[in-house]
Amino acid sequence: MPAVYDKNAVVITKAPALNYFHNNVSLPYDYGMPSYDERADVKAIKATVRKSLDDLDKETGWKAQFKGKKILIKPNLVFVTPKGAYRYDYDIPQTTDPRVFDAALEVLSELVSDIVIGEGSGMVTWTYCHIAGYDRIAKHYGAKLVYFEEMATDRYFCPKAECGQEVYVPTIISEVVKGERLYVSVPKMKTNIYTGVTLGFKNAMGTFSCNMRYRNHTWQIDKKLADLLYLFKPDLTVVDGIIGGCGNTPGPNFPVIVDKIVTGTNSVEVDRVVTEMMGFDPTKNKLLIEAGKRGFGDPNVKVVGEKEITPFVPAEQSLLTPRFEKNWPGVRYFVGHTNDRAPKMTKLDNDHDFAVAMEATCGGGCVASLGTTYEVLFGSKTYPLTKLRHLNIIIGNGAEFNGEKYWIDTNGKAYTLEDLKKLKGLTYVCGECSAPAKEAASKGFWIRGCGEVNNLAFRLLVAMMPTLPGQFDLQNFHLIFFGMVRKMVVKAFMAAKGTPTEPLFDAYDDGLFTIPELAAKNLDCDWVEAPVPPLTKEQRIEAVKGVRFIAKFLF
Amino acid sequence: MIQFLEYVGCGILWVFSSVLTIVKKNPIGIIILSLMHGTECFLIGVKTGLKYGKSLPYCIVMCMTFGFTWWLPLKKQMAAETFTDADFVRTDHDFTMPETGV
Repeated sequence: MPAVYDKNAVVITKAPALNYFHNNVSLPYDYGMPSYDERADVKAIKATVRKSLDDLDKETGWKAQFKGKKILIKPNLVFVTPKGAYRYDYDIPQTTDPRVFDAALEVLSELVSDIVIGEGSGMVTWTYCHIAGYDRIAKHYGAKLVYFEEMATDRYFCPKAECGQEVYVPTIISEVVKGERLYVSVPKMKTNIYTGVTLGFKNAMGTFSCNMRYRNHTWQIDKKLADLLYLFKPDLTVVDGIIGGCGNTPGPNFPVIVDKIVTGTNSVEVDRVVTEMMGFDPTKNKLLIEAGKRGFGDPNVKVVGEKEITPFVPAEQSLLTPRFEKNWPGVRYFVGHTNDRAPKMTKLDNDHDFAVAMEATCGGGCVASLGTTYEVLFGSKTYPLTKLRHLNIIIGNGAEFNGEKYWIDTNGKAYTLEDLKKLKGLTYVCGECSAPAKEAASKGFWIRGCGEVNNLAFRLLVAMMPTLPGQFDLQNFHLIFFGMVRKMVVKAFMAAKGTPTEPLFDAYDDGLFTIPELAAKNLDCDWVEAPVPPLTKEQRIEAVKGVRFIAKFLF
Repeated sequence: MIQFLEYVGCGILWVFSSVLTIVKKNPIGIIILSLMHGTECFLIGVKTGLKYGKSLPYCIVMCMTFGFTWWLPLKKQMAAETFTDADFVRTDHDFTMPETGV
């Protein structure tokens, strides 16, 4: 049974004001030795986490629910890179502070019978766990460390879901779904370019394999993530707010000194409180709106502790901001959409606001992925910022006006396909929906797929060459390369065995992935198990072929 | 990456010495490498590795194979990661927002 609480609470606990910057991304060498436990920062973090969890227990009795149970505990590991990778003089705060994770696990290990640490960063989780020291944490607590993208998957149907009705999750998540294992989410307090903030329940994105992530990784991303709550939700959330991260995460972000640990039993409410603490209005965050609409919040939640606000720089889900235009003066950008959400063109000459509204039509998709990649380039030590790079970017199927398709620039000026074909320099046409503009693309730069983030990012990096992206710093290159090869070999082996780690790539458009008609008794269920029949020989071959080194449309 | 290249270099030395021993029947390379790495292992390698939290067999294998290309970076890393209470005192200089184009 999942944990059932009579009442939910969110506890905000303030940590002593210390310098927590040392080892906030990667554990020190003496982890597990007495000298580690004697460090002032470690002592402070352990005391803060313990106090927060103890206070939460007084309010909710969560410890009784966890006693003797099995747990799956998930941190959030994103582009774990040391200082050397970027030109910034600090560790990039994208990853759950391993000291906080260790402190939470110390408390939990006193209660539970079995611990599995699980994460799926989408790229090279093995490498990230190794760099951050999560493998050492697992060893210290005798826990099993699993990498979601290397696990076989189970399929579920979620009849009530608006967007993600068919879901493939790693087999270990099935134990959570069926109530055999409790789920603890330990996210980082940080902004996110796709969803505004990424906290307790957004952390579940890491349970998806790449091909599952690509599905509706578009304007529908908030719905997709909120739908996942029908399948499983955190039984306990511990937010690492010691050092937060602001800006265009998952690109390199900037530290924010917060000194807080926030814990709670209802992750939607935890996220709502933390969003407010970050200086944002939770009633305007689409992800929280979607979760609230589905009834996953708790209006009666008790908030313990002071909701002190520390303003975070928001993520910019746009390439039409003054900042972007200042940083990338050589990039010209054209956007045009014709769909139910896009503003209608009523005249040829529009203004900047119209261009912004047009771009926002698919804010969580290609635009956000481009914004992330540009942030990576901007922060990369090897990127020559003084050198102007020229690139034309086209997004969308074109906005219709008088039977003709147009793409508009930052000033609202409209361009036809013929105009775009005449653009000087390299032209990059972004996303499957932009097929009507593909003739304007330079050779190899029409980016196939919808929400295929890696394909889009890698080709953009190629277009902006020469540079080495921050995450692929030479210092870690061997680890990253080994991690990628390892992942590919494991995935190919699993596929050949008939237990593929993900469904075949099918994110060719932003359509819904619907399910077959279910029996009436199942319609009111949150989820229905939908085992995939054993693969035939041909299907296994297809599954092996479907395993990609980086992305579907590369190599 | 630099360390990786150093390991590769060390591997080449071992291969070269082995070829010399087998083909030319001249074990001088192997003897010099073993003596050098053995001395390093005895004097500093094992001590450094153990202090860094590595197991004894791991330290011996790594130091005998890679010599100072293994223990020297470890020693430097350890020095960079050893803090005193003074390092955790909050100051205004803990973090400065970089130029981000905002």
